[in-house]
Amino acid sequence: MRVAVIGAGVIGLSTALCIHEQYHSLVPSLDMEVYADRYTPHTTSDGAAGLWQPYVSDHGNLRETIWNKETFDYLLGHLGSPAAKEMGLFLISGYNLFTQPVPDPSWKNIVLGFRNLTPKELELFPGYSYGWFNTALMLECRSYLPWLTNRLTQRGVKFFHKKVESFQEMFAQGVDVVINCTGVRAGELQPDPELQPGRGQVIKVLAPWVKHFIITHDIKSGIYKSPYIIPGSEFTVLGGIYQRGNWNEENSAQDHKTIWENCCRLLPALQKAKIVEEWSGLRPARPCVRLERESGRHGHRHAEVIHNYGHGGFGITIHWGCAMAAARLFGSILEEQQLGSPPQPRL
Amino acid sequence: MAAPKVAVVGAGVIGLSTALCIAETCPSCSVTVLSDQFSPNTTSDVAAGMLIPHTYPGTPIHVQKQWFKETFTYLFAISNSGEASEAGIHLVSGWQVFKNTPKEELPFWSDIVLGFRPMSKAELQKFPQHQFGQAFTTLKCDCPPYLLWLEKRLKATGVQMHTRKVADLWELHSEYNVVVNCTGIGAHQLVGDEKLFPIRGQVLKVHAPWVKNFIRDGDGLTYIYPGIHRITLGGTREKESWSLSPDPGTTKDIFDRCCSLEPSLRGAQDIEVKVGLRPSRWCVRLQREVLSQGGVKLPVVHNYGHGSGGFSVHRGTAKEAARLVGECIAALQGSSSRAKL
Repeated sequence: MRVAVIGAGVIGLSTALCIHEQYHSLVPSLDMEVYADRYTPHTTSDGAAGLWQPYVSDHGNLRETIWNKETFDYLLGHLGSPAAKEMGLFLISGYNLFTQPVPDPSWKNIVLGFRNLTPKELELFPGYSYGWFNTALMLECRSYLPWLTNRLTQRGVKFFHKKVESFQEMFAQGVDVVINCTGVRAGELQPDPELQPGRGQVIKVLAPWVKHFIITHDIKSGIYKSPYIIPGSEFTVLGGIYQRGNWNEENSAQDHKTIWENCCRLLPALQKAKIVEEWSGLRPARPCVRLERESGRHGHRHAEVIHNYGHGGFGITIHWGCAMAAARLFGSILEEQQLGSPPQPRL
Repeated sequence: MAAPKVAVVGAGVIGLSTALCIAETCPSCSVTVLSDQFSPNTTSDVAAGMLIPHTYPGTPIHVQKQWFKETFTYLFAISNSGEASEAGIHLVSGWQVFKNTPKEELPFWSDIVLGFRPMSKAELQKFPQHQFGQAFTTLKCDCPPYLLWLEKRLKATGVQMHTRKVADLWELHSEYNVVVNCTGIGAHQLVGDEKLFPIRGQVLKVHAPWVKNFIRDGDGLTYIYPGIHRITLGGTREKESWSLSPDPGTTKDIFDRCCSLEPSLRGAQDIEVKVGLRPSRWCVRLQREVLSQGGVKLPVVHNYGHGSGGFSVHRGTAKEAARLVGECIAALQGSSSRAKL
């Protein structure tokens, strides 16, 4: 059985690994390939700071809340393992700031030590009158994607540097199941008006004295439009840009100014930080994640696509829960094929 | 008295912060720091500089609390300014974990640090050998940066600093009007204080920049304190040991203990070993004394014996020492004006 995963960001690679881990021993003929025109460090995932944190409001999307939790618990379980450092996985604490009281998020019991901020803590952040403190996880893709790639390579999964133009192209080659993890450009393979780029820009600085993430929220303007500061293992990521519908991957001088001024106002200690890099990327924004099977035919053969895209600005946060859901869909494909296939001749 | 001349002996965190407080409160004073060692070779440079107080048995708790509060407030303001990175001051959050629930569940400083609360069950799962814990956010003073920043502030106010080994406080009587003794463990020999004793601490400074939270065992022996560039792993508390040489067996023991609290430390790089002698005492010696020989008097203000709590109370004791210096100067001016009659 030939499986082609299209896309090598955090979604593509983790879905590939999850399916391979669960089914390779059951289906010895499982032959998996990854196709992508961009690999780490040039994927959308590579630009993300890597903080596990869902959006402030889940809009009643229970499936996604569960996938977020599954991802957090999975990663938390790996924290004490020797692989953690190689994966780019570590604990981090920090602040979420608001200008008015807000309801607790759906993930308050998923993260560790969630609580409201005390008045003294709020003194640190003039202009913000309410907030949360909690301990969460960082998963840095510039380490995690190579780690996933190594695990996949060890399992014999093959990688191809190729832009896939259509699902038909894969089926014509003899692929049985396509896993569509193409992120923001999924519309090129199959039009999806609900999928839009959510352009972000970040400044990477050297500020190792910053030990907490600080994420501000402006409920009126929307998620990621308010400054945020996320310290990584090497660099600290400054951001606060979200432009829906903007496909431009070039850095904008205006956005740079917005990010820098807002972040320095938020954290005066950043003033002496050295700027190392600037990066822009397109969050694959969608009202909800598209995670579903699409069955069809290619000639007289059965053709299956499992879609797993549209994770917006929470791909890392939700990735493993989605990978497992995609693996379950894959399992259902296998089950149907077993039931539908003619009995094997006994020798 | 025109421009009273004040000598501060000692250039660790206590000496430098005391000199700065004196310069701030007595602008007419001429202040000089004298020390045989400056950063990076002081006891303070070995310490992690975490603001987690040590409890002095001989000092009233309300006094210690006031010292800590003043220090915390002072450093909190710096940490939130553009000077934070140069001064080496930053906030850090983490956990203090206990194998057995402590008798005193609320330390005296719990309402001064930020967000102090018991750890949740989920948080404690990360520490299977520990039954109870406290989570909070506090400040860290990284050295050498903090000491170098203090030196810079001192130079800007006109304070001179000289490398000089003072063998006897009396030798300063002809050059200075008041002497401030901030010699830490050096006071044992300098003023013959038998109540002052070293508690030897060995630490490792390692590169592990993914460790963002502090972890401390409530027994005070094992701790992981993330600094700007290095993590301080500790430690030991060896009473009456004067050895400044690192012990390799101890190094391995510290590393193993810290790795059992934070397994990812196995991947730490560039391990550097350091030793410091905590200048320990029943209580901080913060008092005036008048030395006299042959009718000549030399007022002295002692400010030493901070043990493992130097950083936590330094600004508070520095301010008190500066106040005592003010008293000494007032007394000298009073007696000199009486002498004119």
